[in-house]
Amino acid sequence: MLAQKNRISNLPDDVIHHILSFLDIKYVVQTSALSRKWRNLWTTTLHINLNSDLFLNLPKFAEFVKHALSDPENHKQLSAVDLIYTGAVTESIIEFIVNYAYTRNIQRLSVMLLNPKSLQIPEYFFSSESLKHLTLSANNIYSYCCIQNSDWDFPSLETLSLTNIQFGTDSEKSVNLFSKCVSLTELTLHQMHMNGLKIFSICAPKLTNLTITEPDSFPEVLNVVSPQLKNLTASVRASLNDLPCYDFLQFSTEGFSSLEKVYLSLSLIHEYEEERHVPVLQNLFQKLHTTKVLILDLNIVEILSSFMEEFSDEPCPFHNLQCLKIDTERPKRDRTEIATMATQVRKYLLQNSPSATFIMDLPQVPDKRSRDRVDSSRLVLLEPKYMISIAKMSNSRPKRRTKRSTKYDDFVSDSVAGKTNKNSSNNGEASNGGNVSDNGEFQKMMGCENKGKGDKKCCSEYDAEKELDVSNDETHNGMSAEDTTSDAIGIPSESRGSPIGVADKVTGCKSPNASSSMLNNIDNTNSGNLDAASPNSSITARYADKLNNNMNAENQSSNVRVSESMTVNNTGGKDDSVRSKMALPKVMLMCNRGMRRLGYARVLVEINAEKGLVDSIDILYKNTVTEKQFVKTVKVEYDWKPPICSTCRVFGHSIDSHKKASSESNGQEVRKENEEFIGVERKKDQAKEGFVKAQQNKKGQNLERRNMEPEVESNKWKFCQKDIEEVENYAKLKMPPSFNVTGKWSQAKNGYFKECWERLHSKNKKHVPIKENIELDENDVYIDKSGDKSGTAEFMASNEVHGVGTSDLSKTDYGS
Amino acid sequence: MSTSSSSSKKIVLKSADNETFEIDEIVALESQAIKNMIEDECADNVIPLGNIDSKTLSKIIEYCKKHAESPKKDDNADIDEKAVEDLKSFDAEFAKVDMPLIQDILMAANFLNIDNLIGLMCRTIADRIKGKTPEEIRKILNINKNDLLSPEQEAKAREENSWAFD
Repeated sequence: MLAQKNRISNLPDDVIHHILSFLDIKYVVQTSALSRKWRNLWTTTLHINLNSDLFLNLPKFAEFVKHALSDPENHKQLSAVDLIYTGAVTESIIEFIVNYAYTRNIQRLSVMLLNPKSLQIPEYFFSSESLKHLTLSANNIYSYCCIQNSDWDFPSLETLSLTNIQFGTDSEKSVNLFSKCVSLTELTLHQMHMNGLKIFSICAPKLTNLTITEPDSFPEVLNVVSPQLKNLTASVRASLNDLPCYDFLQFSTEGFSSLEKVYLSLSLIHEYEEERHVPVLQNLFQKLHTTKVLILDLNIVEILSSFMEEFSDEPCPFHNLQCLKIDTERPKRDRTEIATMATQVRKYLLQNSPSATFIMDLPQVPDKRSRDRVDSSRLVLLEPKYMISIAKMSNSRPKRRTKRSTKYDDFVSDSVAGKTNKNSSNNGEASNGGNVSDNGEFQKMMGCENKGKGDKKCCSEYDAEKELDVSNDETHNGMSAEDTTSDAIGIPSESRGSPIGVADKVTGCKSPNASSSMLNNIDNTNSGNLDAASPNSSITARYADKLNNNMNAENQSSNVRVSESMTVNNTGGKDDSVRSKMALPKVMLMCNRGMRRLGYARVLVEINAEKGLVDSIDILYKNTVTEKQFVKTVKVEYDWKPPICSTCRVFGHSIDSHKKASSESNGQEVRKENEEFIGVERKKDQAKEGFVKAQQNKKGQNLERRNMEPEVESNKWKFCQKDIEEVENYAKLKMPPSFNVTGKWSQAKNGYFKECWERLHSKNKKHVPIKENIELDENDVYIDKSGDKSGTAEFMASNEVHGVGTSDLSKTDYGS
Repeated sequence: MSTSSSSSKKIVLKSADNETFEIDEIVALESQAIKNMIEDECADNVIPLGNIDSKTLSKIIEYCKKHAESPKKDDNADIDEKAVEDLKSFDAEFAKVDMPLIQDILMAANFLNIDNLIGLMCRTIADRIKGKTPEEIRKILNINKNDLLSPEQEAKAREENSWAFD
């Protein structure tokens, strides 16, 4: 018969216990009021979940625990305890819980310590006859728990997982914890801390799986005595801030005879001192030579490939490989390069294992013929000028050299790049593509990794040329392009934070000779008078080929319009000239021929200071052969952000400075406000003129002048932040304040309100003419953003893409 | 029972309302109970499942098919990530049914001894009663009125465990 009612109570107790095992014990106890059947079910549950966060405070939690775990007759069959605890691990309640659990011979204990305050985990934790599975994690990046060096007494323990734990204390240089864990088969050490430790011993006769992931620090020697080890995983990933102060794994053991699978991953942000890893890897390979399956990530492959000469001095230690796999996740390089490296590495590693399988999934690239794939991208903010530069990369980059000084990787160390920039700009020249337009004060320019001598020269010359071009061309609207090529890029942007469309081929050019891309500009809701405000900001943008970099740009000012222009041009080594003509003062320029080693695309994008910093840019990309368009969103990463003042609409100082100013302000200053405002506008105009002029003249002067601008403007509205917010709120709500309110406002405040109001609510009128001006096809832009990319592409193709695409390009006279 | 011959073999299940379901043996093997029957060679004819109605049974078969198809987790854990994800989302979707059906499935899964399905249903129920008051839970689980505690008994239960009731 079917049980139509009360199904739940017909279930056997073990099923109900199964249900209860997912609930916190607090709720489990509450089920005692449900019905007769449930009355005492909670006392026999097999699994206890405790979470101190469900309670108001720790005393409440302690009180509950004492009640729930009071009866010695309860939970006789208890097999697992799961504890989440916020607070000091030395509290007596923890001991109570652990004892309760261990006296019931539980098999599984999982403890997650939140905010443990860097305390030592008491010894009573580490002794249980019955425990089979232990998970200990200290879940706080700022602190961790220490474990003292005393033998752990877990004769039954099979799996052990430790996260964010410090091993050893200052006085102890050698740690050996697991010698009594004779049953241990699986050990996972996640984010282990072993600073200062000389020897960390893992002596576990039955250990088969050892996993070490994202270690904070290694001991000098990791002594592993585990003859039965089958699987070894070592994944080292440095976070951005970490110095590569570890040495990867240093095994002291003689080797592992039953090794089957080894996975090694070593991803470092800082790529200098790679050769340091060579002896380490050599040693490691020697120790692991018996493995049947070897999986390496690309970074290790890269090291191997770079230092192949050193490795080749000795024969490959691996003689038993059945499978070699290269993990191609997160590739930073282009396909051909990976393939070259892989071939080399494969040849070496498999020299003694001819029959082994080789597995590598190359990253997806739509067209193999393309030589112009943009490899990586990311946007980097340069100093006070605002351009984003994205350059296409040419993948003809030669194979990685082995000398440290010649690295030109995607992630060059910032400081080095910065220095380069500075030097060159002092000479009135730009050293790298991106900073031409700039005054040489970029502190960071991640984009410049080319330290090759030839590169530098080329860039600077070309860039200078290009900039002149641009400035002479102010009368044009629309975009410019470049020689014969194939791609078009459009960047529509609607408002801050909204995507800017850019067309491009970024990840894979389908056209055979797609060597160049184009540029375009895009703007948005811009109003004419604002344009003047942003003549000179520059951002260097790099974009990563997967375009999935996260960027964490926080935009400061919100209700302001922005204009952005973007330029892309090719590095194909052909004749290149790129010009941008937009309604706005624009600068674009590219890194062009000569930048043969460029590892990323670079485009200059000008942003209006009023709109703040965008955090992503949509790149609209058109293939002139197939007439298809694609959209790709590039996230922007700011290495450095200039202060932005939403009030004055300039870069160079933040709105905070108004706070200061207002505290000192007095009546006189207030009266001056309007005058100042006019003055500022005039100065902006001057600046604009100066900008154009300077473009034609020597750069150095020009840059200096532009640099001054923010200083001048910072004097504009001087009242406190509170007033500004008040005013802006009214403006945002489209609700003018009553006369009573405005009567109390100062003249300046009223003036500012009007300005805000205009800025916010007259957008549309101003917006339209500009759009026409730059011949941006609104339909294209909108549809493009609407989501269905393939559909959009079709649509655009069928439209022949006027505004952003070909027609304008073809009209442009490149030769002049 | 390896591969080709066994995978083509069919098992016929008959629900309480006399509907028959023909499934591949590989799918049926998801159930430990049926597996045992097959091993004991008791599964040559139709297997009658007198306490499972056709609606529940078809749901269970849907689940078993999906899980039988997806690659089993073994040594090559890295290869399976996608499949695991896929299975997860299938499970989440599968559990989006009303409580009576969940309970029917749970009972049937318990009868047929399908571990994964028992776990999934238990978790689903747990998620639905988590943090609810006893009154709400009674309603959600449709607990038989005859089984209820008398008001006095319930008061006593609450009193005894008052430390758990905030």
